[in-house]
Amino acid sequence: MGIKEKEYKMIDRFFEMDLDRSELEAFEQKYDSDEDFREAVDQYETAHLTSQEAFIPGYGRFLDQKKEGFAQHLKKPTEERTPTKGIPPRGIGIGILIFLVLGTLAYWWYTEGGHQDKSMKDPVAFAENMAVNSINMDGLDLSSVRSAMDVPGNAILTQFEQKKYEEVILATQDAQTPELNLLRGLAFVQLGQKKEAIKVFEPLSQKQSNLKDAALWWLVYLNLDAGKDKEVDKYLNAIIEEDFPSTEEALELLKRD
Amino acid sequence: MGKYDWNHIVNEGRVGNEAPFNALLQPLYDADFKWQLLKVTQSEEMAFEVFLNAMTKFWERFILKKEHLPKGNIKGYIHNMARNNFLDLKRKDNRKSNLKTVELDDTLLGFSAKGLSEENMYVNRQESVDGQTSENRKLRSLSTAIGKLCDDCKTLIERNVFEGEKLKSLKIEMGYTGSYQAIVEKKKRCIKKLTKLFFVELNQMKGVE
Repeated sequence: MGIKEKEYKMIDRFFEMDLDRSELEAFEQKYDSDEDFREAVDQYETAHLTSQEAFIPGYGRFLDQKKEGFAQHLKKPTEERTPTKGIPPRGIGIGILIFLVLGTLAYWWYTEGGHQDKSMKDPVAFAENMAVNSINMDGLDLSSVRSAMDVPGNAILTQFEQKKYEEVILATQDAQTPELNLLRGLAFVQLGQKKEAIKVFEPLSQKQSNLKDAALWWLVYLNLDAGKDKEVDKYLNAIIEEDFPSTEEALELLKRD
Repeated sequence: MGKYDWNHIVNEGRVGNEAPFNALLQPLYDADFKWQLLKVTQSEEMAFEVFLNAMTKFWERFILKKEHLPKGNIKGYIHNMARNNFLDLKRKDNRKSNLKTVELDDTLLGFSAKGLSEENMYVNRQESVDGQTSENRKLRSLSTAIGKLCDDCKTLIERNVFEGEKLKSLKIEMGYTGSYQAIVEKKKRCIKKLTKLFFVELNQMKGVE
């Protein structure tokens, strides 16, 4: 691979912040004196962050949010904190990576023929598929969330996974966070109470959050299922205006008969 | 055991109670890190930043990913983590300075003279094409690397990431009869595999240039 296996492991451990003091000194010396090694470090960083995003989309953003959360528990230094002074904001790098990963995955998936299953023969099924796929339940972080009734978010997620939808609805009364409201809306969907679900997803679709596109797709599906075409178009246009990654699908659905 | 019960803090975090971890941050920084890191970073804001980055990585590795806690002095370990991060931040800073130097050189060569001269426009176009080529190379490398993954990893990308299927349902289909953690571990190994394959492809691509 150009550099030795031992060096590759050293770089891997550097990004895991695992090098001890003497190893770090050796790393710094090599980095300063060896151009190939410097380049390998940059390439490893690209490869690692991209691979992580490929398997866990939004992981970098999730860690950034976590870091911001930890910062809330610390007093900021007296001077104005500009943590990325002279350093490119991580968000930009992550944004480029997400673009890179999704672009490649889309290309790879398309050439593998994965797209062929999603036909537009049935717009309701298409919309439902989009709504379901707009949420990655494995990536839903409720560890630091509590409901208005002080129930831990993870406990509510467990109730949802155990299909105790009535309990989820009870526990998420007056819920303030997008994650809990999403679970509330989904619980209503599971119970077939679609009008109630719309009432939950509607305000969720108005606020900026990571779940806004999911709320919009659920509104598209529920209204399409109810035959409310005007409402469907309104939400599809909202997805297009926000330029979410699913814009193409929204445009496609706008063209339905 | 020292001032902090690390096992308790980590175990609580793993079951979703992060209050002990959050409560530890300020006293740990004030008593054990602030002044030590100031000596290394020479800046209070940088000391704060590397501490925050180190604690976020600590949380990711030992609470989220459930790695085994290192044996021995945990505070000393976190201090080393902070030093790793400080070097990383310096590296990124230097890289940016180098890019600036290139821009300055271009200015000296007269490319960014007043207005958009024909010559200037040509350079901008070239830069744009070069940037695109570099991105294309990365995309090709990534695509090749994904193609070389084992079938399980490909299935995880295609079904879990792209089609949004839950890991729990994939677990059974992919023959993981053990705990849910087994497939999570598989995902971690796939990330490591893809990192290496992508890294190798990028290196080979460099050789071709």
